[in-house]
Amino acid sequence: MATDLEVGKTIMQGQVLVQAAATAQVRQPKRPHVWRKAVLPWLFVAPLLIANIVVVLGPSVGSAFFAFTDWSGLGSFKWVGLANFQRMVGDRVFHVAFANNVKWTLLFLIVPIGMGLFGSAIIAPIKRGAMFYRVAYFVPHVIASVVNAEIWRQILHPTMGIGPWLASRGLKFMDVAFFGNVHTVFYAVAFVDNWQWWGFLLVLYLAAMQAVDPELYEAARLEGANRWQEWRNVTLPGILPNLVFTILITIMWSFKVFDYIYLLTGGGPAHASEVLATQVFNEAFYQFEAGYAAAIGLTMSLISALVVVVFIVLRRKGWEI
Amino acid sequence: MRATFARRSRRVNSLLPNYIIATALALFTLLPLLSLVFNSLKSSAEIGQNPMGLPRVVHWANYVDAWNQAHFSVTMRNSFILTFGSIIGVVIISGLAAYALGRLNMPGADIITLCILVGTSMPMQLFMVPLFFLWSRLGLTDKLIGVIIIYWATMSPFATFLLRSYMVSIPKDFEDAARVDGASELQVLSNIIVPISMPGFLTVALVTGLSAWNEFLLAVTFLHRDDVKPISTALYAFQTRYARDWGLTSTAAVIMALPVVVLFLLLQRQFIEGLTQGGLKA
Amino acid sequence: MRHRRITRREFLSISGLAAVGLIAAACAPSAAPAPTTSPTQAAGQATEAPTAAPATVASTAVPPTMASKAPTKIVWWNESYNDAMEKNLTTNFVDTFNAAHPDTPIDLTYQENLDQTLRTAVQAGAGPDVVITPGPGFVLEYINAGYILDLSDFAVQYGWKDKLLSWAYDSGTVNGKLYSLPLTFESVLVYYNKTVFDKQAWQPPTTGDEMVALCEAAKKANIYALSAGNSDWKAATEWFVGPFLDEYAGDDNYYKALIGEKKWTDPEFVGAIKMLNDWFQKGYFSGSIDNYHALTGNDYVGNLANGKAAMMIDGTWAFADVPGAFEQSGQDWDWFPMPPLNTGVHQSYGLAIGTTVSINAKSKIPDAAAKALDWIVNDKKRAMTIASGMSFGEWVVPLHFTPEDFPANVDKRIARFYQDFVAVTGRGDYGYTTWTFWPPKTEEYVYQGFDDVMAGTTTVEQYLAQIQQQFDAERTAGKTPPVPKRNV
Repeated sequence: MATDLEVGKTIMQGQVLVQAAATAQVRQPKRPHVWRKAVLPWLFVAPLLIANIVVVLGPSVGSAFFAFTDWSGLGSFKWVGLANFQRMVGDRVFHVAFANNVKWTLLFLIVPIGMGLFGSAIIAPIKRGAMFYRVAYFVPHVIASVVNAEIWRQILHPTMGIGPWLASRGLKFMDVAFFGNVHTVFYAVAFVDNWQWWGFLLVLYLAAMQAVDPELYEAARLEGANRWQEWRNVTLPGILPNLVFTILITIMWSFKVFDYIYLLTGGGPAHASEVLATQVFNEAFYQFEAGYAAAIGLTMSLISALVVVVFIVLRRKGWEI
Repeated sequence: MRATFARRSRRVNSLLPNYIIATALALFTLLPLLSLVFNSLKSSAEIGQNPMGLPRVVHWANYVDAWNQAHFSVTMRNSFILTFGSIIGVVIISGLAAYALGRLNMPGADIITLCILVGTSMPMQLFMVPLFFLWSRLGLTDKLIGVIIIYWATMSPFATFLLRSYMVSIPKDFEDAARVDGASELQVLSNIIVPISMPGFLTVALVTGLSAWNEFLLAVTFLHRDDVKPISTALYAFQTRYARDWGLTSTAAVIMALPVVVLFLLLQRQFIEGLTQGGLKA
Repeated sequence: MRHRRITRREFLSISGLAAVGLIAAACAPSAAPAPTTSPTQAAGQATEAPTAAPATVASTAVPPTMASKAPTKIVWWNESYNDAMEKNLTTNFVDTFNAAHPDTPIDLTYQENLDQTLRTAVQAGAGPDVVITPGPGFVLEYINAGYILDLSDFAVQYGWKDKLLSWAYDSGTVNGKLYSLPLTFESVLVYYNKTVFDKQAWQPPTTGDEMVALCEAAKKANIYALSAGNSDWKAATEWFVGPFLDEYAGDDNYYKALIGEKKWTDPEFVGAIKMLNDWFQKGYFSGSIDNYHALTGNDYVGNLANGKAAMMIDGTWAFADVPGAFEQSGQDWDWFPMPPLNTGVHQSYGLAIGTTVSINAKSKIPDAAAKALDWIVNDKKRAMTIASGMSFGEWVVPLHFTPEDFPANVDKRIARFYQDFVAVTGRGDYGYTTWTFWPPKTEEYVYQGFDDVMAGTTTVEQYLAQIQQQFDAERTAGKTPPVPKRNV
């Protein structure tokens, strides 16, 4: 009964909105079909395109050019063709960094997305205290990364942190210098980044869940679905575009990841936590190899482009993402 | 009626596991931040000896000291301008673009998607020099509006595709009905699509605001004078070359975080009311 | 339903108003300059200026008829420090200069990310009049790219060669021309916790063997022998490599390798690096290699101050942090020079320049900028005031300081160091730190590659061979900072 009212409300909402739209100033442009199809969309996209070309794409093309030179970052340069790329392919540090980015991508496709989905499913039905939980999960995302890094550096401190504390109470294997040990450092950094990131995904998924038609839940319940089935058959399809968006963003940004590695370890020790972005930074600013850095940067962009192409191809095949 | 009542009470009981898990997750996220708040009230000496516990001596004066030494009155004003300027621009730009890419079946949408998204994956260090060159010729350095325009460009791609993912699954009926009745596309967008995808817009506003508020690299590269510095510089105001006063830095971090938490609370109220009006309660 | 409409309308109207207001504010011309740089205030504090301008001229209230003679600002981008240090610099350097030169005041702003910001601006053809870089290796890149003004004529005009310590002056020259002045000089020494030493009845070591014995004793007493950590500054490892090369191989050999007459793969250098690695493997540095990688500057200074560590090999910049840390912990500190680690080697101090200051080749007011540079070195008393205001962590200009130049309120231990430094290096016992005299890529490999040596994935011989290879490549390309000539 309550749900019928809800559904009725939604339909009425829609009708009222439609009428409001129609009774507002109504113009009859000439050849509306052509205008609507061909020209108008470009007008709508124009601000985005202009802003991007002027600020990002234009300058990026400029610096992509440097990938084919021996530019140091200051002053003159010589064209060297593919030399930087050849060097990259044989560079041990590049291999380690690339492998780390791949590892990072896999980790971040599973853990924060999983936690975000799980958390949003858990939180959604809660009414009392909902505000508290949402704020709680989101706050790490609000704090600047330099501060978050330091908080966790203290917590995972080799002598004054939680590791030695747990070890003294019997969990001997926890007595590790998390950011100092070459075997644990990568996972420690990923852990900290995840702590900051998953709350953001949760908020995204919650917002998406709002758009799911309540009538569908009612229908599922009438058929006797339990909570898992409700989620699997109603929620998940409903938020699928948002989920796919977060998957896409996760893959693209995993290849760009920089902040926490730079702040916590600088890519060390011995390149154990090196990623492509820290290598680019290092090459450009401490090695005076801006041309080589641009080559690595270009490679990162090409990988992203590949991911986006896959996304587009899937969409063309009819996936509604 | 009795059947409904029984269903309702059964559901209320079974939320207990939800609360337990939710609380566990909340502890996971909040306990580390407690140490931030504690540290904000300690002297830097005490942090060395007692990095995670309650302060032995509570230094409320830290908040006054941090406020003055990091010039918060100036930087906070600047960051408010940067943040709101960014939000307004990004919401408009991405709203228009998301609608076009997501609902207008435009030819060329895929190419645009590719170009825009790939642009976001270039590491920033590489396009800063040509951009600075352009900006200084245009007289946009050392001006807040110059940085706001940069933020419009760097944050709109993410916002566009985020919005698009909210707009994509709206049923076409309302739109088509409005078009039949003669509404223009702009009217369809603003009167129908925007209200229905409002959670998306609010999320975009939140994410953009947060990015602009915390952003450091672009801001310090393009803003050099003291009167235009943003709030993110406050975190670097308490250090000598190799040592940092973590008491005051923590204080600055708490001061920085508060306005965003307030913004989040304001926006979230919309979310929660919308969610509980949906069909997820009995 | 009702609240949604209101939300949207409210949102649009508020944002419309806000947009207009904010964009207006954002485009507004700059606010008045910060009070601390106002000449009127400086006039009251000007005591050093030999040509003290009368107070009326120093006033900012320019009468309408003189409006065309608005002061030309010397734009100076400085590293950012904490509030106290910034105030010290503004008061004692900027304000005193501006009082003496009201027509060309210094407009000094603090940049949080100076290196990158400067590089971006200079490369784009903009940038400040006065250019500050983290050292000779960095400014060399700018010089090679043509962005730095030749200061040789100004050097003659102002007599800079005589005012500065000769090696420091030479470090700013390239092919005989002066391009930068040293803003701060540094060295490496060993700090120690005197309270711990007294309790354990230890004495500061004067030979390598004594130091090793001390390290072993510290291990037995469950104290870190040497406090160290490179978590927040990976390059910290190079602070040890330099002194070990110096004190094991000797300054003369070190010099010969720097000018190409010896190879880094020669036995004395291999011995030095093997010893350093040995000390790491034995856990002398913060108890373990993993600890070393996980501790920060705050951590290891704190450990020394709390008595968890006995000694600390660190730079003179730590003078800014050590006294304060020990005040908090209530323990006592002192220092001793890095002892010779091999027979036949003299004790010496490594030379380092921490920051260089130059003039942008595109500056429109080089004469005024040169006056500003001269202000750094032309008054020992002012330089000492600024340096002690920085707790001797920055702006320690390499002038010919004598014991009389140190006022009574300067920590005796710090004064003793600088006096000893001048005496020891004056008689020729000086070494070469990696961040001042080595080319940048080789320098990077010095600390990056040593991680691999510590981890056991590279041998000491391979490490040094790689260094030699990189070093030769950069020397051929002209990337090596100048090495002052030595009589060998």
